[in-house]
Amino acid sequence: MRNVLFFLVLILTITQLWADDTETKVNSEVGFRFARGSWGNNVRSKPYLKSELQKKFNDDFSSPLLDISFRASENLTSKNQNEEVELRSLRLSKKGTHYAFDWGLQTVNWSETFGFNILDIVNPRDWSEFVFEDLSWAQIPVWALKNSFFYGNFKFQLIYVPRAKNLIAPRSGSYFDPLSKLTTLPRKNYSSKKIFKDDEWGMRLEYLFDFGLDLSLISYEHFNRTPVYSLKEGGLVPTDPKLKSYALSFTYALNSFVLRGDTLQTSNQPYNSSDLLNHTKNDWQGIYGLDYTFENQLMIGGQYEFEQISKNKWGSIQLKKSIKDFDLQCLFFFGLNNDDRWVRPELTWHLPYAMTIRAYSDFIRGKSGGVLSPFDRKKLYAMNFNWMF
Amino acid sequence: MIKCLMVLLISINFSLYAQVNADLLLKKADDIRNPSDSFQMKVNVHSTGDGEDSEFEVFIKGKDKTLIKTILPRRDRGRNMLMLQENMWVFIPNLKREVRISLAQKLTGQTANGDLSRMRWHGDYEAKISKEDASSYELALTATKKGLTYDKITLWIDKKNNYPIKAEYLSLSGKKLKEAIFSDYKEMAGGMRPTKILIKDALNNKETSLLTIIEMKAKNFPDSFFVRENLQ
Repeated sequence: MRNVLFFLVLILTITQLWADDTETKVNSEVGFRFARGSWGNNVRSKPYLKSELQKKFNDDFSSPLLDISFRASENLTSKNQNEEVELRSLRLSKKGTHYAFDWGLQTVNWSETFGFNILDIVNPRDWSEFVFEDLSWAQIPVWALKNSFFYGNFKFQLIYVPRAKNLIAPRSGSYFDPLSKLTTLPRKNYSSKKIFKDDEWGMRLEYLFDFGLDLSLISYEHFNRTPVYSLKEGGLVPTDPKLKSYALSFTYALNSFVLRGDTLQTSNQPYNSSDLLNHTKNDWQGIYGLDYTFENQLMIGGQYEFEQISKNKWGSIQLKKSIKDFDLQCLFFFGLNNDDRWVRPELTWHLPYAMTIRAYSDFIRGKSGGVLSPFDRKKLYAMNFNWMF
Repeated sequence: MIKCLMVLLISINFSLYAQVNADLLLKKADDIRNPSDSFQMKVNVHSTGDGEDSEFEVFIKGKDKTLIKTILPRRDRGRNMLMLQENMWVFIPNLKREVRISLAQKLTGQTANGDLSRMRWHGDYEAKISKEDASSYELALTATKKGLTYDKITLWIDKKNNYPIKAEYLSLSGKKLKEAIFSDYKEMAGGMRPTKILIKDALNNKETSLLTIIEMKAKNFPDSFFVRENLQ
């Protein structure tokens, strides 16, 4: 709590000092995130402060831009000291007529579809708090050199991460632990990565056709992004090999329709199995969706999803509507060949002075076969409050 | 036979003239709303029922490249938009992600994304003079491309100075969706421009959005200014 307050005072001071500097933008947000599970305990009770500073060195389009953001938070539900001050970005950006360089700590998002964001493979995720955590909280930023080149409708992006970061797996025996039903054997930590030796790199080619189709091809070499363990020397060792992924994504808009799709192929993807041995398979995942916006601005979206290793198929429907100061949203996610069911109603209320209250619930069912079976009949109630200044 | 041919040729000539004339009128009306091929403007939008006004910084190059930066309301700051041809993306700041959207989606109040991002109609619409009175021309515009904000537009242009007076935005079937009134012509960026555009919902006249152009200046931007990387 001390950290949050200290940084709040610091940011308010900086905001005042640079209030008249048009080349410097400071955007901050202070808030509180609360979530309680139907299993009887609070998942989080977390005050936080987020702040982002963007400094342009002159008014020119090609001027370098420095982007720094950090987040200070504390989970009050934890008995242990659980204060976190995290640098979320420290990025120097330089744009030219045919290029854009972004060097430094950053997150890179490639997915075009909603929900599981399967193509966001550049950044590992923090799975420790909640498996359906908002991606902006779950993504772990990486130090990367991102270079983009543009020629007309063609774009080429090259990314190099000199030192990969480990994912943060759910705690052993915790509610979201993928192995909680199989074993309580001790687990070893992910081994720390070495600079240049444990690097990751990849590229994205993107072309916007004159008829509106935006097509991307992606290739990325990365460490395993899902928490998988295998039995070794009487304990469980994280399976963390380097993998190669290839992906194709597209979007297309016609009148009020928007069509989007992501397909990901990963070679030798490890997966958890009941024998706790090291198994791998070539995996294909796909999400394809269509959304339509009515004249009254009601948005309806539908998605079809599949995953080859588990042989699961799902569908999802999302509804969105804004009425004055309220945004209403509801997600229905359901297994097509399994019993997965997940409903998330959500209400956001925009208050004066840039304050927002967001409340949502997760209702989960999953008897067998699907990915939600470990969370069967669980409910989560969450409420976030934030004030932007 | 010769007389017949002459009548036919004169008719064709007149119809071509009328066509060119409507096209020219549309271009002149466009030139009044848009100072040059490449320019930037700051726009305030006040919508009925919205507690706070919206403010946007709009960067336009030609008729198919636009970058809109949201300044106000503060909760939407950073919710920037990019339009390339008939394609549009919005940046969602808390997700740090660009999402493809359609031009017809609402920006704020009665204002569609395309109302700000696609200011030039010449080249997108086929124009015909449908009516004419002592003071104005009535132009019927029909979209020549798919994916535009409106399928049809009826535009009234002042005969004296080619100022756009009013536009009705119509669906493909001809149903009136919205009405826009151009007013408060002032000297801006080297010419007289409408600084206020009142957009009314056709079903409910009380639902309005008033666009006020606060400042406008001609400025040249490289093509690479209009890329998704610039949305952040």
